[in-house]
Amino acid sequence: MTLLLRLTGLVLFLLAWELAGRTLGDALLAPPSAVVSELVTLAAEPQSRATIWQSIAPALVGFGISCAIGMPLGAVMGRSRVWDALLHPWMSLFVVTSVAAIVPILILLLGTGWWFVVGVVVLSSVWYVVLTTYQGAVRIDRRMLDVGRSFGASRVRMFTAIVLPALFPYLLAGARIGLVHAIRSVVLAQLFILTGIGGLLQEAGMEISTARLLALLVLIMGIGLVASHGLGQLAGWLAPWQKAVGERR
Amino acid sequence: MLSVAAGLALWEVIGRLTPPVVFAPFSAAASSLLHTAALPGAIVQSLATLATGFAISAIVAIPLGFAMGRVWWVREMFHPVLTGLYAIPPVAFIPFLIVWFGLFVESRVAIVVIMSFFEMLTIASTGAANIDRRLLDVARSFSAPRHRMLTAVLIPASLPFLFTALRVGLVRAVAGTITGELLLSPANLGKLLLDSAARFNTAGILGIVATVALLGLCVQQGLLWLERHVLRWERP
Repeated sequence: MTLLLRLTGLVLFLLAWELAGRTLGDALLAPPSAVVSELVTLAAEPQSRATIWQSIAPALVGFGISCAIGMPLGAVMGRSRVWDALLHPWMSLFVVTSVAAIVPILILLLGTGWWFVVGVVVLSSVWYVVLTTYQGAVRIDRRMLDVGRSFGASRVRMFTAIVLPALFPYLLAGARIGLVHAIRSVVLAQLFILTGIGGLLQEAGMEISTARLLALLVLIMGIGLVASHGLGQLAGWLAPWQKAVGERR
Repeated sequence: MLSVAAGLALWEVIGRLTPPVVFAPFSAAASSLLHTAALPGAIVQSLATLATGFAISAIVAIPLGFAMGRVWWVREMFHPVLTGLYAIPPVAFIPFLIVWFGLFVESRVAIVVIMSFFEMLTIASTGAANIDRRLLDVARSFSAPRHRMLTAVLIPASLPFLFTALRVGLVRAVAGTITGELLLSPANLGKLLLDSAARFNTAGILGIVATVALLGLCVQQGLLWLERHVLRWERP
């Protein structure tokens, strides 16, 4: 029944799109049928494939850097009051500041090459990794730590046996949110310097038909869905004991 | 407070040590802000875009989110489509928005709407779905009429998450405003930012960035204050 309703929603949406597309014409809104055929042509062009890879690579590198910095930082901030007081205001400031505002200065600092894109990705995704890890670290059950302490566990043992398993689902949730933001920010960065998928989008926007533009949007949507769903599956598989974390936000 | 002061001091020191093109000290950024005559006007214009976009977005997102949270078939029907649309980065819509709305105010408002819509929708629907059943049951046992149910139970029970939705949405809307002003035809704060960048005026850039950050922080804190004021009963 739920599946049926979901399909109905999807089908109704596609039908409405198709109808609107037919009446408005390709120049304003290409119907899904045209978009699908455009998507097939896009996939067949080796150059487009290379360009899209040009976008995925910096997203992954930046995401890796974000995790490497964000996870330890979030854990430290969650467990130490001093570091929390020192860093939290700045983190809140960066979260509310749009990365787009920092882009001009990043262009001055890093140029408009590959590292610029990576820089934008790191600056926009690292905060979400830090915040989620931080929340996990703050919420570690005191009683668990007390049990460890009563059994005279060493610091290393406490970390590997208590803190890490309790933190793990949050790390995965943070990684997932971070990855979504990494993909978003690659598009933002590349729209500024017009390479990769941003360049493709810009070019497609110049064309008379919107079919290519919409095909690219569908493609980006696909990449985003696959990435976030994939990490979600991985989280469920690696840490089945706390599956629901990270469903919110 | 201390950390903010320490951070500003660090900014000042790094700014003085590095060449001015790369990074400017805090004092230079502040003084360049004071010398930008166009700043107040730009802020007002930006805020107008922000307010329009945010209002449109909230008016659509909150009732829809509420319906999705309370009525199961609405949720099931909208869920797949909205998840898909949410997966598209808002900035990717920009070329499409240019086709539809042009390069100016309309497009900027549209990007604000897109950037804040989904966050508010998600929070509103999760919140509405999680309203305590017992509250509703109590009202039903006292056979409250529908409109009493709405005014006495549903609305007060929803206010906390509605405030959260508005707050998160507003922060996203600030980000949307500046993104639109930078990526569409440059305007207001975005134009000031790009002008400074074109002249390698790092102090100017940093000043504007700080202004944008402060703007975001102010609207967030403002809503938090309002929330605390209205939701007295929620306070621990």
